[in-house]
Amino acid sequence: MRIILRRRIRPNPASNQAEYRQVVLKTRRLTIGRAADRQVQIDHPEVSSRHAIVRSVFGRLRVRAIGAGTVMVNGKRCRNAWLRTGDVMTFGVARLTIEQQRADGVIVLRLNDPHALSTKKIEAADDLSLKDAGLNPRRWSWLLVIGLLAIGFLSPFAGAVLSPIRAALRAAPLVPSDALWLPGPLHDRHRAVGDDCNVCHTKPFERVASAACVNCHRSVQHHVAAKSPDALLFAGSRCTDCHLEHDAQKSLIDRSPVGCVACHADLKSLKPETRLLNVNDFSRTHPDFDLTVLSPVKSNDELTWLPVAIPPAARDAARQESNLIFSHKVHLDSKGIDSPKGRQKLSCNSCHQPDAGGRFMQPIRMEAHCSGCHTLQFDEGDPGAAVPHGDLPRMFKALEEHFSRAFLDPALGRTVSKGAPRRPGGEQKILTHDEQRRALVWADSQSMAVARELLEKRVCVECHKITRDPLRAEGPEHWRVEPVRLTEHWFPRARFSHAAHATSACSTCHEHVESDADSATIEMPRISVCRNCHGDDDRRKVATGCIMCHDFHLAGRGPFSGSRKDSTRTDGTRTGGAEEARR
Amino acid sequence: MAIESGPLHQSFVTYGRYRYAVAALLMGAACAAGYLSQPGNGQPNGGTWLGLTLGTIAAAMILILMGYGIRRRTFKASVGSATRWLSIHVYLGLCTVVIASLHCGFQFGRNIHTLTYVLLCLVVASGCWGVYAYLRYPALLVRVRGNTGRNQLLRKLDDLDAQALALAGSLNSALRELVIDAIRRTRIGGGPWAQLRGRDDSTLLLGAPFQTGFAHVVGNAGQKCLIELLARQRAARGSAEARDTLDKLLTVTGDKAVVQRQLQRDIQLQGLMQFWLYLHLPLSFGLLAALAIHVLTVFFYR
Repeated sequence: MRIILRRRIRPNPASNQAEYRQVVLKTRRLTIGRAADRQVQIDHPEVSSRHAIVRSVFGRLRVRAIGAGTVMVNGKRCRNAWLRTGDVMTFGVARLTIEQQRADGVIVLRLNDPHALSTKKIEAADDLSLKDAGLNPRRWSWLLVIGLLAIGFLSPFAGAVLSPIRAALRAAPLVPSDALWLPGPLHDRHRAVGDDCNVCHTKPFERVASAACVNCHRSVQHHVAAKSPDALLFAGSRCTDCHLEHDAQKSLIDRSPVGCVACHADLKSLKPETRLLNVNDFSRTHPDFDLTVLSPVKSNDELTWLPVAIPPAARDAARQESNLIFSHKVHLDSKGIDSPKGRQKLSCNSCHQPDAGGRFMQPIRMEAHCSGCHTLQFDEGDPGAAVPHGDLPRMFKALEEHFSRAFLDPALGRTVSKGAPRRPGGEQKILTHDEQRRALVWADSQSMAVARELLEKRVCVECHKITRDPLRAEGPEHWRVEPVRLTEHWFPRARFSHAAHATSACSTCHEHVESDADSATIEMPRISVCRNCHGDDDRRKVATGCIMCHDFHLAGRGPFSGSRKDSTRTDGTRTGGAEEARR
Repeated sequence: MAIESGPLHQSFVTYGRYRYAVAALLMGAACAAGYLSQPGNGQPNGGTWLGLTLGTIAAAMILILMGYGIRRRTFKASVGSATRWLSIHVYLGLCTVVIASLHCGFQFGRNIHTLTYVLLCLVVASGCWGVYAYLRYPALLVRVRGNTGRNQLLRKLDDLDAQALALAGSLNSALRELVIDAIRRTRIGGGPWAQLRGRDDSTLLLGAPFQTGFAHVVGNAGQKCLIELLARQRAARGSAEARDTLDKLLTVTGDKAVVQRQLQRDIQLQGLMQFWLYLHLPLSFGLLAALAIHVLTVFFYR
């Protein structure tokens, strides 16, 4: 679009005649306004900085107001208008006339701006301060406050209280819902709950009730026997006291000891008959560990092995009666120990290996751990012959069979004792009755002699406590190998993971094992050993809360329902509590 | 925000020998110590007893800080000087960010709670800009204006324009119209962005005979374009009288460029000195709204 813009200019003071100057513009749109960069600049308070544009639409001229303003065409206000030759647009006091629309497409415009002719101040009246420029902090404040309330509160709140629109609000993208209030994501394990807040948050302004948790976690056990009066101590306690959600936690459990200590700091005041000692923290007030040792208990003239608790004061004198004869000192000798393969140096993990869960050690087995050295051979001439382990009648049977064969087959091995009859020649012949009788007597006496040696002098007796029944004749019933009873759970009330402590040497906790000459000495650590690395608030130590070692929900206590109504029986008898179960 | 001058002028920064700076520092340190003394097991959280305590302190502090706006408007306030209040406001405000950070345990997400925290940070950041503005711009303003005020500068500009118009009267119509167009299209101030940017957006509509081809709106920052055209005319003109007029016109235009720059810088600095408050106030009220929502919703879904 080519435009010839004829402007009436300030006349020469001398001539004082109307004078026009013209400029030729080539533009797609003619810009009109108060700003300095407009092609037609009109300085008038009624004219905004970017007021209007004129452009050609399919050969016809059209004026359009920019922003909220209007344009006056031929005395009529309008937002936009088609223009014809002779039309007059008024901007403030300035008049812009379409003089001519030439056939070659050139448009001739005439601008008559009386203001530009006056000798008064003609400086563009720009705003000189932010306030003049229309900035209004009060308006911005209101906008922000109302916007925030609408987005952050009204819409989510409407969804939270009006259940019919709740799902729609939550589902609609970009619509503010109560998801905005979510302080943190749901824990991975609770994903199955879904996006519905009200599954757990059933009532506004109330904490999540335990019933909401128990809906899914039905089998969670109580801390004390659920039907005992002890359960009354937990009236009013909720799952959320200890379990956190939306906290970007790796674990759902609040590991701080505050909840436990609330009762255990002074448990006697809550339950005078308790045997449990008070605990405030791990590093100072936690009592030393009771040991639980499998011990023989005589009841009704019968010896049974039961776990017996040994208080810390009695620990030094405590012995483990396991019926096993074993010396750690000998086995862990730094110079090594004799074995069929020569001298062999053993370490703790030659025998003690953690189980798959990492918490306990796998049980020691003769076949897996001892038989490499302790071969149970009995015949030097026949190294392949060994008695079976763990079954006396079978041992006797094996010995008898061995010596019967030895009688018939001299190549099987040399006879053990002198004076055994040597059979002349090597030829096979059928034994006479007398020979058979002599063979039986010989085999019996040989096997009995070897068995006596094994059980009382050499092999079995090296590791096992062996008793004799004087009332019975020598034979499998005469001897008794006392069963080995090794304690497996020394601290049954605590959780300990050997795997988690794999970086420490065994002797860090089991201190003097290398020098223990017998298996009765107990080398379980005292609390002071744990405290070397574990502490409460000591930044240099592993932060240790109660639940690092202790469970709250204890097996067999009955469901933790959060409701205490049925916690006492109607007849008022106690059905057991933590202490009973402990005993 | 007038800084009250006592017998000896004291800046709000150093007021009372940094009394409030030390107080805020101690308060922040106490809260940080409380935070660090918490047992290391578990993630810090706004819902713990310490979290709630810190949150309550932070919320109370925000309300006190908002109260400063009321204090400012109360001229008869009898409690403390304005400088003291400003000093308290600044240091307490900085301390609030520390306490709020400890309160949230550095847990952030896309929610109203983090929005509240972000708004607090923005409010304090805009406040810091304000502190910078009050320490830096007054000195710069004095350097720009010299001993004159803005009105004097504006009057000077008017005088120079009047002189230019008078001189242009004796020139031919093309040059005359050029000078008038340059005056009309001289830009000082303008919209908020133009004021803060402080750039000279003056223009000229340049057509024949100064330019071949079509007419264009060209930039005239610092009256450079006009001066260039006038100088070219002066070199071409023969008549001594016309040359003399053009010389004078060039001098006047050059003076105008200087005054114009001074004014633009003045407007820019004044704008910058106020603009932080245009952010600080709305953000503060936004923070108040977000804080209310935060507190309410935290207890709504407990």
